[in-house]
Amino acid sequence: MKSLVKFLATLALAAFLPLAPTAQAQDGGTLKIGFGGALLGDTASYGLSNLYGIEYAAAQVNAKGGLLGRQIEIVTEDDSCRPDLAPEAALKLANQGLKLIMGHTCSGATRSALSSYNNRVILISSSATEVALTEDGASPYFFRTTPRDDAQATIQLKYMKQKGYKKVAILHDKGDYGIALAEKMQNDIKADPGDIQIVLFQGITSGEVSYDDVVSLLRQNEAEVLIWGGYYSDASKLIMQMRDKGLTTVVIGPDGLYNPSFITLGGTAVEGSVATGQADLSNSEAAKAAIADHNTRHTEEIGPYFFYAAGAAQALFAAVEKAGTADDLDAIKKHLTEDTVETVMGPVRFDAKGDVIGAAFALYEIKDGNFSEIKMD
Amino acid sequence: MNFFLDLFMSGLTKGSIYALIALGYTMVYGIIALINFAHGEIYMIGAFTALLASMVLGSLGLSGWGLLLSVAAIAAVYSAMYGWTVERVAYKPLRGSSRLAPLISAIGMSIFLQNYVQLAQSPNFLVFPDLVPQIDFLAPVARYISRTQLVILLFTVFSMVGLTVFIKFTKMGMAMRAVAQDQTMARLAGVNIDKVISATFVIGSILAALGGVLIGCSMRQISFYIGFIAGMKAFTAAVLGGIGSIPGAVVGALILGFAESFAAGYVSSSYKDVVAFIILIIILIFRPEGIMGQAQTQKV
Repeated sequence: MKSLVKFLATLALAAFLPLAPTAQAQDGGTLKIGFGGALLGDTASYGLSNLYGIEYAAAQVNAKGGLLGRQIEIVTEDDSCRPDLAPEAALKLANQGLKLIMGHTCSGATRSALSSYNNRVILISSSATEVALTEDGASPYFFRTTPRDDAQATIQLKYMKQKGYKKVAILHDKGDYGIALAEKMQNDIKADPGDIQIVLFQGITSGEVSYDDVVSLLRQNEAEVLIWGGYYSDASKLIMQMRDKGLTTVVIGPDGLYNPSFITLGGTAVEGSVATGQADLSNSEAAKAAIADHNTRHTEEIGPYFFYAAGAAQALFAAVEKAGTADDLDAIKKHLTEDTVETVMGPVRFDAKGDVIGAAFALYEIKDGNFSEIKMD
Repeated sequence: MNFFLDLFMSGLTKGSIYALIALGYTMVYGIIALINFAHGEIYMIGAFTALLASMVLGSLGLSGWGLLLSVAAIAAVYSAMYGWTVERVAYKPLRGSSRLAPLISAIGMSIFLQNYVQLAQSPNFLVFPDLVPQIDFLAPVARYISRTQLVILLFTVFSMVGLTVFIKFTKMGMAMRAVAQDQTMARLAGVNIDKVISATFVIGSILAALGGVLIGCSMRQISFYIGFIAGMKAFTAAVLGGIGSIPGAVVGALILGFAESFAAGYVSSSYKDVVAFIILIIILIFRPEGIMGQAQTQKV
């Protein structure tokens, strides 16, 4: 009996502990903005690229006297892009009383973080592309400045038609991201096939010791082009084995391939492969100024998401300023969806689902070891 | 027919790699009835050693076959040292305790080595150099067999022949067979059990390291995590062939390789693991001791 009481007391204590920080309200000094995303591990470069953009936007505002008269301070939590770590990172941020959070970096981590935030905060991601995040309507305070995965298939299909490819093989890595992309492409082709015929639709096992059997399948089905749903590591292995066996099938992949590591790993074998990626925004005057400003703070490159993150943060800051409060989620949401804000990534306004209006992907071909944009009309 | 040949070659190379790793599982099990879960990690360390060795030797001006062979030799020696140390540190102190203790110790060792390499080397995928030189006479048949595949097959065949000669015709080999049959009797006959067990780990590790080098050459990228899937598949192959049986491990590995490859080709690559493992289950239902394993008589 005594031990039972002890046990229950411990349980009660344990239940109260995590709640303790909630009571701690934001102090009047700085205005804290949270950032949840990958800062460690092999996806850290993505997270840092996001963080740099947010830092830039915050520094601009701080130089002009801050937001609502307060200096912006960025509080970071790492989730390593892992869905199992993201809820903890999310709770750490939300329990500090933060209401405005940028992130998360990857789709899977964002999904699991959203359930931890439980609609208590405004969350804006600049790199989570999974369609369902906004489409399912479960998260009214979630917004994103990156285009969604379903836009990738659209532009890829347009490119294939332009090139006149007829026999298409679709392969995915059996992961959430890969399957979603592959199925979207399959549905798009079925809806409007033109001359295109899907000769193969299959999943392959990630991390396999050899993909020779998959290479044989591609050859057997005489695929002219391979649509890949997945990340760069498996893709580079598969492509190298294809080229080893003399198979010249063109590979078109998602933004998971739009990463310098893809070229480093794949070497000359991935030459001529095509990847969708976020449109390159670095050419405007505002963007150039932002890069120069970034270079005064960091030696690292800005990375692929810098402008999307800076644009997201600028839109958020503008909405908070107009709403006159950093705590009323509905008031901030109203301004995010109704006002168009001029940002470093161009004009930003969100639709009712939380997607940014007018975001698009671009196509990049690997030429001489670099991504070069394919101009399409 | 061409398609069949493609798949056959793919299954053969896959099976060869599984076999190199599976031998380590099966030999250790044969001697001390332990499933060495850290074995996949030794394979991974072999691949990392090969990467480092190839950078050093490459910068010293070595190239071609000389580079490949010396890199393989260095990886084999270094991994052998790891295998030996792992046995001394994690298994030997537990010998004679319950059967579960070394098993848990093995899992712990596996996690330790994985994390160690992740922290000491890199959490990222690393580029593995293409160590296999161009083989000109292969050019006309490159469609069926790439130069890497040929090298994998050659390495595997030589390793198997070497292993067979070692087990059959050397004194240590004879001692190994004796210990596998009856440890107590072997000890009474004057066999140094500790030495035999260490030798088993060393040989298993050498084979795993060769597997690591070959897979590095074939995939041209490695990470700290590659030991997991390869280890899992090889372990399956060892069980399929009859764990403890050396020819069984090779047969099991080849069956698994072919099953995966043909399932990918004729069913669907989405379902190839399903098909391969259904075959495994069916074989184990009819032969629970594995294809070439010996049924254990229960002593009451």
